[in-house]
Amino acid sequence: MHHLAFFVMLGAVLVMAGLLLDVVREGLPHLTWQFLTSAPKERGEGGGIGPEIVNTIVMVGGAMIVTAPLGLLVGMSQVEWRPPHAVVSVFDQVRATWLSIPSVVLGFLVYRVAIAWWHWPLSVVTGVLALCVMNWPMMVSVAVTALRNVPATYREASWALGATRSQTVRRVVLPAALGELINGWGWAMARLAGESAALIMTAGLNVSTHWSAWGPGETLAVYIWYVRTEGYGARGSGVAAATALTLMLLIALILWVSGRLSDWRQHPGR
Amino acid sequence: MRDQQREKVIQSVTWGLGGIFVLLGFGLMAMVLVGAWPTLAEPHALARLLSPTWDPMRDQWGLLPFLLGTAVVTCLALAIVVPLALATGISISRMLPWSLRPQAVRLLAALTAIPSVVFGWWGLETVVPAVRILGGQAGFSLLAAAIVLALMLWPTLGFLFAEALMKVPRSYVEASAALGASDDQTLVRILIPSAWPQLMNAFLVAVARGLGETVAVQMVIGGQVAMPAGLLSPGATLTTQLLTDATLFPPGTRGHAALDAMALALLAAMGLLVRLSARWQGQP
Amino acid sequence: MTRGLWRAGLVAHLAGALLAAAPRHEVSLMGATSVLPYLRAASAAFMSAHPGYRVTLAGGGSVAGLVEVSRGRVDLAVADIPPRSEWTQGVQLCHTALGRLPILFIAHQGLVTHLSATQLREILVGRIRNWSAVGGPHERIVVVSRSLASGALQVVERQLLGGQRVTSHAIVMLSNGAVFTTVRETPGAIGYVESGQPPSGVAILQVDQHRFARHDPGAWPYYAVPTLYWRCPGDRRVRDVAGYLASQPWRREFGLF
Repeated sequence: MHHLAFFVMLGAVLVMAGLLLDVVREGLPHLTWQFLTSAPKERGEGGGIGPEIVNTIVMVGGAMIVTAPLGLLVGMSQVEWRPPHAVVSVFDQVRATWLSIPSVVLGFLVYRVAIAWWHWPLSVVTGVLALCVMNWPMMVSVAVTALRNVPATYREASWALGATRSQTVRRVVLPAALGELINGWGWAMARLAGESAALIMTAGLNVSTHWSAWGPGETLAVYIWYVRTEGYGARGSGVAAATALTLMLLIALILWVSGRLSDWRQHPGR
Repeated sequence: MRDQQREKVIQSVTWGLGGIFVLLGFGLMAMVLVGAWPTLAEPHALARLLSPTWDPMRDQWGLLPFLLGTAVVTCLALAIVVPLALATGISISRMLPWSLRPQAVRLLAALTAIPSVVFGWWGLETVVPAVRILGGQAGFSLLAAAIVLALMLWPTLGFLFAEALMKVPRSYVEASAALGASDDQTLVRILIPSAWPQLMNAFLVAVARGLGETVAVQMVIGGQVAMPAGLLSPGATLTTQLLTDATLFPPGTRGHAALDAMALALLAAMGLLVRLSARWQGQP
Repeated sequence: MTRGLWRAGLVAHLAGALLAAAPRHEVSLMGATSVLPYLRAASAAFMSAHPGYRVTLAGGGSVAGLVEVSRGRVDLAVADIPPRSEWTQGVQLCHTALGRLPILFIAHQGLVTHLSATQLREILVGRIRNWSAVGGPHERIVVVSRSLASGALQVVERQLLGGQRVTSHAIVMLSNGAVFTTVRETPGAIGYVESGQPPSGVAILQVDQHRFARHDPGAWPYYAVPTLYWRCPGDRRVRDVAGYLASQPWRREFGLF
């Protein structure tokens, strides 16, 4: 049975490797410096994904800057200033349910609030709002897990020395939890960078060469969807693959950096 | 004294934010419920919602094709991926040399970060033509969607299964071996039962991701709104139809309420999963 | 505590609404996907020529564009079909046409090259289900259509099908390009695309005696008229963008004539 399991796994690994090879094989020929830096072109050869890369980085970064502190504070409210048990239990259920809401539903709700009620344009900012709504519960979960993993003895020792709760959190708990927080943030960024369903509805399907916060906000993931489904011509698939390769490299970079930072926080000196 | 006041302020700020978080969470769910209310309040609501005909131009709002599509695609994808992931978890936690195990787990974790739209691209390149050749129909089908979804879920589920199996204390395995159990007996009688709650939770995570996946499925499922005639027939799921029609019906119209009803169905399913998951964790 | 939260919610809501009330140089455009490639190119040219302006595009289809422009959520709509009052709710819309865009009927290669209008209609509504019935090989017909928000679908149902509906067993694609790609890649497939340039890799069907010719697109009877709509009278930035988009001579390269 164990050997059977091994061969079954091997099958899955081969299929997955086939997928990655396909992306590399079709994408690599298109992946030039010019492709990475120039704007998309609808006609003829050339054109690239420069503005999409900028939008992806800005929108993921923006959503993280807004939600990471908010998530951390909300996480602390549950772990460090622990409310009554019944409150924590309601809170956990809301967090878990919110986290499980499909992103297309969240995009639909953000569309209704921001675009239908507030008359925001389809834009980078609206896209960031959608990503924030997606990411807040994620950030809270990351914070709750990281804070709960800090041994209670750390806090008790700090209180015994006369530190207040907030001092303990700032000087003892946060430094101890930071490695795990960074790791969780990296994974969340990877998830946001790959999001497309919510952004198709809120951020628009094109880019501007004059970037602006209220301007169009197509990201790499949305561009892959656009090119592969809307794009005419035989080039569509290759361009989609090259964009996918770029996106995956970007995500790998995010994960590598956050992983290294997290390791370094958890085991300094290595 | 000032210290105490400051502590109070900090506590109220974090609790206030926590309150806003919970309210916003309820707000999102309430928005869906309020939005879907017109469909729920009308006479014979359930019969109309569960009818097999979706034809907005003739005021027919049956969600059955999409409910069925979601159920079939998710179940089929899980039927494919659970054995694969279980095999992966067993291989990693029991077969690989000790030195390779952390790397294998890390690799699986990295694969979970591949964006779903990439799986959709791969589905169009590979799965749809393959299904077309084997099945002789269009290729865009529930089956193609399920295969794409299965591959997408494999790293997540494999990773969680491997983690769950590796958390079982080694002493259990050693005790079992000392009693003369074979490897397979240890696996079936000791490892899987002791890891059962974690395995179930991993399974529920996969169900939730499968139910909620949109773009990868939309790219290969075909978007047909009639009742699917079989696994090889094109279809639609709740999420793909939501993406297709989200901009068609503005807020305030009957169609928008129908979309909210789809969102509500998804939310209800997710809520159920969360309850189940809490039960397996032994929490309320 | 609860009152504080309510207030915070109210303030956030007002702030959200106010944020967008500030004067802007953003113009958003939503609607028919058939002209999206042209609009992507033209809006990029417009933005290069007019720094400071930003034009955001979104697909969604003609109906979506008309509905959203009437409610003031986007500045411009592009639609293949005239607005109906149930979409606009009485809001008066100004318009300017981008040109005519032929609707071509395409089939997977190697099936047929010629159909009568009647055969085509029977195929699209789902009464003829095998190519052998219209002189082709023995192969199942796969109808590829567009979602309800599509203007092309409405034009086809009105002009060719005489008000009948495309079969509910059709594969539904979200955009013009997706229909083309699907027909090219799917054996037995037939669909319709809006394009003034016969796409390569598929069979362009002759319908009755009509054959689409690039040099004389006016002779082809099936076409949509993609048109820009905005709320009357509209402010200058919107009219500027609309005027620019409707006057670029190179839109012929995208099939608009």
